[in-house]
Amino acid sequence: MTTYEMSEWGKILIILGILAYVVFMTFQGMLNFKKTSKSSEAFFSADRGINPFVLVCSTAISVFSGLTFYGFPSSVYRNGIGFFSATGSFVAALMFVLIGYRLWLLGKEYGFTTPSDFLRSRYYSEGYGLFTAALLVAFIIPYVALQLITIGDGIVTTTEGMVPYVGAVAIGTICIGVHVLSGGMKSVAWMDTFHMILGLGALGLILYVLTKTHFPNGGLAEAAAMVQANPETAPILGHPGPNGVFTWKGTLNNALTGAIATVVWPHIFARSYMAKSKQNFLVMSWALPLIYMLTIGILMIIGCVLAPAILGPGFANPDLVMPTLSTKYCPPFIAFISLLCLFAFAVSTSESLLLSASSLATKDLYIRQRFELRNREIDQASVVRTSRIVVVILMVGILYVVMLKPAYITDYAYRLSSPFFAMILPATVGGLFWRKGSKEGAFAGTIGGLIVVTLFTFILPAPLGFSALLWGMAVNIILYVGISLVTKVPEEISKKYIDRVNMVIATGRESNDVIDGVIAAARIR
Amino acid sequence: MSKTMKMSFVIINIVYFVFNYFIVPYLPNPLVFGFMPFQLFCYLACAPIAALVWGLYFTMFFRTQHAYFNED
Amino acid sequence: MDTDDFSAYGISVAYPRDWTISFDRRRGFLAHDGFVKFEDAGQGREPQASFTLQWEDAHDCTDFADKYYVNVEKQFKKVFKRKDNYRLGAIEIVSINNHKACLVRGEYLAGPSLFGVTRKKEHLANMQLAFQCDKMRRILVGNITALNTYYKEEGESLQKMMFSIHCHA
Repeated sequence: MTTYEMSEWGKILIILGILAYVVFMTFQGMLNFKKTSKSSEAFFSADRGINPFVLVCSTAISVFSGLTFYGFPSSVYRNGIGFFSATGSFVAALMFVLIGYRLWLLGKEYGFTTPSDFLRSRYYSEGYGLFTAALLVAFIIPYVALQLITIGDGIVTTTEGMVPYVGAVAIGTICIGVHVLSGGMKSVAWMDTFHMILGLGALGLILYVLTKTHFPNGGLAEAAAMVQANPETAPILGHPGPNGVFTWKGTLNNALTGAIATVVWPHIFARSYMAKSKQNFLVMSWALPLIYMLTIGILMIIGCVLAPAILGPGFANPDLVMPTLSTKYCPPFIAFISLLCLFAFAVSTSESLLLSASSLATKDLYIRQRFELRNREIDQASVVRTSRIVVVILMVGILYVVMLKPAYITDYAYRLSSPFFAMILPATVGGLFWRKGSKEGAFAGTIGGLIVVTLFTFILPAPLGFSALLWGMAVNIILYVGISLVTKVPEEISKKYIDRVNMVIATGRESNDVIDGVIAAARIR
Repeated sequence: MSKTMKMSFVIINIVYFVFNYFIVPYLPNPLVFGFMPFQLFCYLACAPIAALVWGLYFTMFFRTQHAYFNED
Repeated sequence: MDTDDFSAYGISVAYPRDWTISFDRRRGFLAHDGFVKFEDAGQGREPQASFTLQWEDAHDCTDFADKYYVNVEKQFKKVFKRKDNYRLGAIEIVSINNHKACLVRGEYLAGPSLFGVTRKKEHLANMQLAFQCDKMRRILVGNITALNTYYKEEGESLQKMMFSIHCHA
């Protein structure tokens, strides 16, 4: 196979390219600084005015993290095409419409901006709101740390160590932190759109260059034939894969971990509130599966055909399949493109999660406890200022985690953060659709699920070949439903969040819009 | 929207996900187009099918939604 | 209609005893920036009417009632877009608490529920009363929306509720 050596000049140019990207992001963030400084709705929810195209791109690229870009090809190389089940066959698109639309309606009606806003209000419990906010913030930290680790690894590999790991992580941190600090969700959403286009374009280019360089005559067919002919690599092309992971149980476990609970990941949950109109949800229902197909399709081909054909079986460090392919087996320019692609995937997810964490920490943990519950006033500009300080504090915490313990990529994220986020799914779905869902049920289900997930992640092996997440979810649902059936929900709660949503109401909402418009006009003249 | 339509949508989705999660892993797996495993092709081909089915259903569904939508 | 008094920051209004009261978190509830909603949603029946009262600091604004009179039709057009989505009745200058006020009566077509799986919109009767209190330096707007059938039966009581607004003690 043709291999490439990166010259010193090549590495320097790549570093300059990275710095140019950081400057571009900072500049783009600063453009929105003033607009987002006066109102927390502008800072966290982009004034609930995100158009369908931007929301689809932003949602997709926020779901696709550094884990997707590096992790998909490496997991497919390691365990076969069964890893596709991490997309859940695009179930996130369906769930975003089914659950997100109702959340959006309630968000507009009652002013929700965070997951805990809804959960606290629906389950009439300050304690439950506080608990879920703290839980989500705590587990966002390792997930963002993971993205920084991925960025760090990517920069180190691409520059062959010219940029040390510490420096690489610092670059990622500054990039993400400054962008979020300055522009909030307005900047993040637009940057996500740019990142989605960049990411998809870069992936296509990488696929093309790898194929053309190493299989100029037969293309992908030649590569696939090589993989199929080798008894060590052939199992990658099917189920259950080289290590027997993807039986139907493995498929189900992976779908649950990677996809079914996507809609309640805090940064995706928050996107429900940002839509401009119902059009957003309609477009999401058909556009998200197609974006997934393009993005994941390319990553799958790289992982199951090109990687085993070029690297052969038993590659020593499967986590580095993608950076190795794009640096050693592609011209230097492609190494840079690959790094940009990594940035696109990892930065977008980090920013969104960081913003969610800031929103939860500021509004649900700090403002709610120190001001709202004590009837003390705080103006919107102060809320945004506090949020920015919280972003800095969170970044320091995340950096500490990153410096302390770089971890095995795929397992780290999925073992800790993803299952724990998923534990609010039953309470969220029940809260939207089931009038009997009670505070006691929500507490019992969430806590029970967390205990089970922790037990089967760190202490005991999960029984019967099912994942810790699946067991946790099962216990969560049983407790939520069981305890809710024997406890009572206040009538006004059912009315407000379930019946009212379905009943004929005369809220006068449209006339309030008229009034707001007249007041604004009266002030101008 | 009629109850029949809603029920049909639920059934189609059950069939779709059961196919993807439990049946595709056991399908025969020749290479299609010379390079793509047939099982992977099935997975990817479900995207435009899902887009079509979900897009059509939700187009009809959102026609019934009027809150916050004065342009209807 | 038996009423109770709601009073905060010197603003008061008499509202029907069996109506519910709610607040909008986004709008706050302060002396110079407040919003409260009263809704006929008690006793397990479907809500048929709502009354919102909002107030803000007047800042430099003068002749608020006149400005309201001039601008309200434009705003109806902006919000409802199509002419057959709304109909404006009388817009008149009246008096409340010795302040000049603008009283607007109209009707508009609106979605019946947040998550209604029905094509049918409802005709809603609407009444707005907007005025400025120079003593407390606030502008206040009361807004009643009700199903047409309800408004026909209870219109007088609803108007009485609207004119029970007091802007200062």
